[in-house]
Amino acid sequence: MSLSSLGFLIEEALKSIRRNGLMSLTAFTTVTMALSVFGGAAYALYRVHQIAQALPRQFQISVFLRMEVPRDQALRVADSIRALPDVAAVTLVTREEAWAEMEREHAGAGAHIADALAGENPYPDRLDVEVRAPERAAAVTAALRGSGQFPEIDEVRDARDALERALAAGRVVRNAGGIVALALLGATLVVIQNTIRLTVIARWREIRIMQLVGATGSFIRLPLLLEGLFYGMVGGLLAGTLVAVIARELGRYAATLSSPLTAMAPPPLSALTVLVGLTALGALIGLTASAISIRRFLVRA
Amino acid sequence: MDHARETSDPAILRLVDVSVVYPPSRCALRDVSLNVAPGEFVFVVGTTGAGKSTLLKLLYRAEVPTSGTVEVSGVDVGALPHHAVPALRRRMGVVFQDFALLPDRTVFENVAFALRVIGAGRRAIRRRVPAALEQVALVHRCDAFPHQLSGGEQQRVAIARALVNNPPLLIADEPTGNLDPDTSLGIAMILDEINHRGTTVVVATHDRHMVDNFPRRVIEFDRGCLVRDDRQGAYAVEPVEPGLSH
Repeated sequence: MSLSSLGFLIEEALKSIRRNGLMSLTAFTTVTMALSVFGGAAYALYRVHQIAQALPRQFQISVFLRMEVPRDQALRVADSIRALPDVAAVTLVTREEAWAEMEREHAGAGAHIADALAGENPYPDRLDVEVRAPERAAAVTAALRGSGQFPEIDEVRDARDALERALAAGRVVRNAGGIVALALLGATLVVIQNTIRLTVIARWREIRIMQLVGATGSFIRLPLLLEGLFYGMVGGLLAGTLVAVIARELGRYAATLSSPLTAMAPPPLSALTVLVGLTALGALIGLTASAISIRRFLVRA
Repeated sequence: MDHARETSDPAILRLVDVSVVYPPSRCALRDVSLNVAPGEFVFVVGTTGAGKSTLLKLLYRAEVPTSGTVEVSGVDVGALPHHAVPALRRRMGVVFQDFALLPDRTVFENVAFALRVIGAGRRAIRRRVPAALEQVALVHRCDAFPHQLSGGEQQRVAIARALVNNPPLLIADEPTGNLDPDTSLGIAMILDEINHRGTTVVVATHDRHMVDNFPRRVIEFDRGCLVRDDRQGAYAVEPVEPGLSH
């Protein structure tokens, strides 16, 4: 196909989009909505999955000792825990180090907090325990909590609860978002199909003339396919932009929370990946809808 | 064309025992056989429903025969696969009663449309469109839109579009059906000129005035049957005896 023919076909497709007016706008809007919900749900699910995957590798148990436990005894407890078969490493974080950590995290507010606490350091000594294998983390936590072997331990915390909550949220996102997104994707197919059908009706005279002067079937179908492709791509691009912006803002918000989940979260997908992914998906949907419509409504003559 | 069965026979159109039956059992054409030589001018006449339009549709493959064979330039049109139909249609021009022009395009663009959709380049369009408009004496109206033209002018644009690919065959289905007698004669003169340049012209018409003013070969249909084929006939045969029609 020559460049001139391609230019002609693109020109015809754009003319048709303009002529369909309100229906074109409906097509763009529906594609954008459907892909935003679908893309948003998929992105959230991916992110939760990504965090869940990363979490066990960095699995760490925080062991808080009683306030009255002296430092040398704390070191002995650390040695005892290090001797457990499933433990890879134990690091003592002294109460002074914990205080300094707090001051670093709450830059500027540290002095106020110190005033409020009347100079009293409320932090106990803490042991950060790393396990050799993620699946052994639960056993190590249970051993530290309930055996009575370590009366110096006040509290044992791990990220399991946060992980469970995140996974539960992920399941909700997947189920609810998935159903809504699938319904919207179906609606998108129908709307684009109808728009192309309107185009076929609006252009029946041109199509008849094209057939009579010897235009090939592919030459007649191509502007209709391009029109569907255009609806899908523009809708996908808008949806990608929306999802990328929302994901970035949510990411920024999450970074302000002092949760072990966000602290350990791997870097998110780039905005470009989201944009390209949703645009490609939109293009695929647009082409599919056009192809169905052409097959159903374009009369062979 | 792969599917062509080229013959040494000079006929540009050949129908052999052609019948067309529309479901459930309406017979539009019945055992029609005829030949048209290259360069001929043929009027196809008959009452509404006689089979004129069906005959023309067979030629440009908008219909296929129920039985018999239809050949255009030696190609068995009825046996053509769907993908080969565009190539057949590029070798003929078709003109309709309703002109079939695109209202949002100028005269030039309407004629150029026939070239653009078959992939012709801009240079070919710039060269061939004015030449086609020249043949119908409409070069001066090339920037006008169809609604700015008279019926006769619109039909001339349609003829220019049919001619722009220089086809050896021009088919016109009631080209003067929407026009007054004087304008019809103007269209007939243009078709006659086109024929004189060597194009075979087949015109289905009800227009007695036109047929009688241009004595050419006349083929008459009645209820699907070919009832008359005069080498230089009139619209209707005059009765030779009182009470006896053809």
